Amino acid sequence: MDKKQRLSTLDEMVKEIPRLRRFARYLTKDNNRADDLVQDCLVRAIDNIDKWQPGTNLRAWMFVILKNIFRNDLRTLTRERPSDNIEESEVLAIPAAQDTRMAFLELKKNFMSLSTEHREILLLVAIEGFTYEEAADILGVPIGTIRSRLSRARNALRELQTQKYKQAEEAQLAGRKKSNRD
Amino acid sequence: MIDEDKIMAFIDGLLDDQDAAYVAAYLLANPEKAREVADLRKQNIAIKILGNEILEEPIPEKLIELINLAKVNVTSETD
Repeated sequence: MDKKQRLSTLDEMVKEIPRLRRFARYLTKDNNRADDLVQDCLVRAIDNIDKWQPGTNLRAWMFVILKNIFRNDLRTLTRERPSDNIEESEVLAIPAAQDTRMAFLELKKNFMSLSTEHREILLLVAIEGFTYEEAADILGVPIGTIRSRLSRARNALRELQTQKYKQAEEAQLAGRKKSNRD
Repeated sequence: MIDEDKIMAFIDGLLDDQDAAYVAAYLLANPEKAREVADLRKQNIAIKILGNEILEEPIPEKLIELINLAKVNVTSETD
């Protein structure tokens, strides 16, 4: 890779930072740890810039780096840090009716309570829009595993969503009974 | 045969017209499965905007600095 290519690759890397931050934040559930992760990812990507082949998918290449660092961190961290300091204000920024906002908060909370493996696959395929093949490459698993994991992740989220829905309905019903009595 | 893989591909819009039509016909005949798939599709669309606000955030200065430093290093390399 010549000087000019390195410089333009560095510029391309900057463009990937927002997506790397989202991926990191939803994986770690910790804003500070997420930015550390992105920083480590950038350092490694810059050090290995000559290993990236121009014309291939830079985003996927950087996601692999980030995922690998995250996995290694998980192994070295003796215990998980207190998680989920993602602020609710992030979702509250959605300009929408109150109940729509509540529904999104609920969805986000449920998404966050999925296992790391399930969050990971949904982040890659449903949120980032990687193809099954790209997701298989990023995670280093066969495409069949991607399909089955995706199915399990989606159903796990649906399970949580329906539970909440039922609870909300019951709460509403209970509230109505109470107000009838009052 | 409509298996779970086909259903996932249906939700992700990856099937060709003929396969998608088979899945749709299967769902017509299986209301319970159809409800499940409808839920999954809605859910799939809704989660697409999860974290969109993160994309709008300014990039932290320290990350930009990393890249700028790397650019300086590349520029100052002797050919």
